[in-house]
Amino acid sequence: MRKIILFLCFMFSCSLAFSQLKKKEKLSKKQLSEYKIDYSNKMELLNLKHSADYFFDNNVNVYKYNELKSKGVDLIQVDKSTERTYKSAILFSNTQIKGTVVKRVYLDDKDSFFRTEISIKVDKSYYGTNLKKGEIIKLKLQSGKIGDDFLKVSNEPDLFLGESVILYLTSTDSEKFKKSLEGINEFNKNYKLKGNKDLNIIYSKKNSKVSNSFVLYKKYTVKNNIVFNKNKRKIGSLDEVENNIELISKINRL
Amino acid sequence: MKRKLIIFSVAFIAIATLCSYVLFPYTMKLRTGTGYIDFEITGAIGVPTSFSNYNDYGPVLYNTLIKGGGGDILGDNNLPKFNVTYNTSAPTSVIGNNRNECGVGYNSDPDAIMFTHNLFNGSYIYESDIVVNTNFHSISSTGGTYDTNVGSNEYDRVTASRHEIGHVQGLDHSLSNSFLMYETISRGNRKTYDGDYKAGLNCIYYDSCAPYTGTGDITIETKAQKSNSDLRQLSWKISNNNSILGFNIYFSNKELNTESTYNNQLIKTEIDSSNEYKFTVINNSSNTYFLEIVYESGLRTYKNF
Repeated sequence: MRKIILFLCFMFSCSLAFSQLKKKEKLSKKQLSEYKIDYSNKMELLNLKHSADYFFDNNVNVYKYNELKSKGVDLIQVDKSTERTYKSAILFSNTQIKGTVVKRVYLDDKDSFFRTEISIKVDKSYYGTNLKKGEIIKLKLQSGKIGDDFLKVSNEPDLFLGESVILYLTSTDSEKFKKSLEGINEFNKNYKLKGNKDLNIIYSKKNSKVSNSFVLYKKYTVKNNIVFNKNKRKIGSLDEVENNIELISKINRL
Repeated sequence: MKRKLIIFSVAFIAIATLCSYVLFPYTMKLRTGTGYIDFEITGAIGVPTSFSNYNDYGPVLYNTLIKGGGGDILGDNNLPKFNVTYNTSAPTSVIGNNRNECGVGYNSDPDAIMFTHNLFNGSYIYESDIVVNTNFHSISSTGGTYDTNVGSNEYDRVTASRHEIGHVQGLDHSLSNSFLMYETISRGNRKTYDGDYKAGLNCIYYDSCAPYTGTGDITIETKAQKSNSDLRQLSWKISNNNSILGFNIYFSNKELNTESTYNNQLIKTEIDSSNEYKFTVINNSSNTYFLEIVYESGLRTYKNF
């Protein structure tokens, strides 16, 4: 009898093995492969057929489809369009904070991939890297001054001194960002970049081991306790937006 | 005296420095040239033209050279047309995914990415590069050619290219997703040059920023209209709740603040908690009034009274 119960427990645990989001780094190669199949099946079941790899790479919790939908994150819409609301964008960022723009420095370096460094004073950390109130982080932008010229990259928002902002970020210390450097280097091989320097070398020279630096995914402006998107559209009161960010982050990582 | 002079100098330098930082972004208007330009696109978009020297400021994989001089860009027949071809031997860049889709643009697809670098000198764009990775050619989620429409499950590379050409011409993003210059794209959706696009070009190249209706998400809903040629009070509501940020209000070409004067008459402007705007003209004359809301992006919504 005891053996039967143990066997049933084992079977039950096996069936639940991939019924929730997994930490991929803790899985063996085989487990990872099985997990990916299970994840793809779940995507198919939910008719999310276009973005399987994209969702998988970003650890989007498709197992919480209904819960996310009830909080205003419709994965079907995410699958269909490049439009990201402040709620759905949470799934693709690993750090969310509220802060104030306190300083802007133009790096003025032709060889640098980033041309502007913006200092943000953290007012509140919602999720992600363990940042404390009052801490200063560095935000890297591609847009910026080059000599007397100014390079504007069309998909980067402007940040203004004194602006109160909610930012969705990715740490430059993260694996995700390091992978992007590989891509950028690959990108540069086909271009006559002066000296054709390896950006890993350039970049690592300018940053300590723990860089406290981030790249930007989304920016929202806070004014009079109301939150606006890049298009200056009101997206909600600060309280409402903060609650949703914390709630959706929590659902997605469970 | 000397101490005062030093304090004054330090304060002056500090304020001037601060102002230069604060104001600098606003001088970076997306404008280029005056009058006419002619498009000459060297090489189809997507074909690398590296090792030419007109971009010293890489990293950019593909270049598109826009030359100036001649041709009315606002004529339908002269709008830029191009074929989208792709060089599949170029490496598949992963920046679209891994630079964390910096904000917005046609870069949110997991694999395909397209965006524009504009290099300004003062308020002039003197070089533009459209960055596009080879996934726009090869992955199943993208499709469409100039002559063939996009599939229902694909992102349209022609629309994305047209959008980026808009940036090259100096346009910024539009606020409504019905327009080509909106920042994102949906599967199966092809957009072409529209009124919003042309209004932007008119504003940039002809300095003719005439009001263009139907562009925005703001509508002016008046509660009281001009009556008996004697306007006393006018109220309006900003329908999208965008009451604080992103636009200025002009009354007969004069910017309205909380308290303004027009024809030497005091105009009081009030804003209540439900985004209701109201102004009262005291002892006004019977002028024709022109109420206009101007977005930071330059688009306008207006109403005559």
